[in-house]
Amino acid sequence: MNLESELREVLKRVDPPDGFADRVMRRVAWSRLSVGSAPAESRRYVHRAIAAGILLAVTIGGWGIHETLRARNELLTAMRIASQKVAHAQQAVRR
Amino acid sequence: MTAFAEATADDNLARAQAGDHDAFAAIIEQYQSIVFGIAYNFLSDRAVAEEIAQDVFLQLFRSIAAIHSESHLLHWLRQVTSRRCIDQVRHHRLRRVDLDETDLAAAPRLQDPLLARRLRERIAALPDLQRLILTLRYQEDLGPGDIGRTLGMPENTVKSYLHRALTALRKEFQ
Repeated sequence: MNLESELREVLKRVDPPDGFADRVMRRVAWSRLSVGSAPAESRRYVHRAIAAGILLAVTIGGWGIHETLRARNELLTAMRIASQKVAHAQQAVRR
Repeated sequence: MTAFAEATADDNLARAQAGDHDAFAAIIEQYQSIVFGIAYNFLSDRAVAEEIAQDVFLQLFRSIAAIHSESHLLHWLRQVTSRRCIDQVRHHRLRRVDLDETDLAAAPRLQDPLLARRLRERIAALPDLQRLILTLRYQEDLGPGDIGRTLGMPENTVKSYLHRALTALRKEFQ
């Protein structure tokens, strides 16, 4: 027995079951209907738009936090001044 | 492959890259026996081999722009199919298929069917890499250098795996 020639015979290329190419093309069509349908250029624009949206949200969010902190500090200052005035008034009453 | 067939293959490739689905279907028809053959000869399971072959062509559809020639396409298909086969047995822990359960209708018939069956059983029992290298060597008629480039391993390592596989088979059959 010539092992190498037997191996060539046993390990021949094998055709898939009938209709294989059609089944692949159906999957290709499905994949194009889903995410892959947009051409690369328009996908790039979508990615840029999403990135810009995130940046805007972070900026607005940051500005909002900054404004909140400023308002809190103003309130604390006002309360401190009011408290001092009350203390002065109490001292005046005691006198 | 003849010069005419090569020109047709390159033409199909160019048309498929331009979005022609008929050309892509022609590419599938042209290379399906290579892709399905590697998967089937490695896994001995027609259903899993078909699944892998479909995945490979779907991946090809997505990567078609990166393919620059017919020979590159052939190398790409062998490489991606081989990787998918190895992933299949590593990650999905494919149970070893008893040849009694397999559909041998797809297997080429030798003059001595009993011998063919014994040989397939012995090949199926070889370690994964030896089996894959044997498939690329005898199905695709690739030399150790080409197998090494396909699997990303040194030529001498391929030779060593091939030698071990053939020694194991010779022990059984000679």
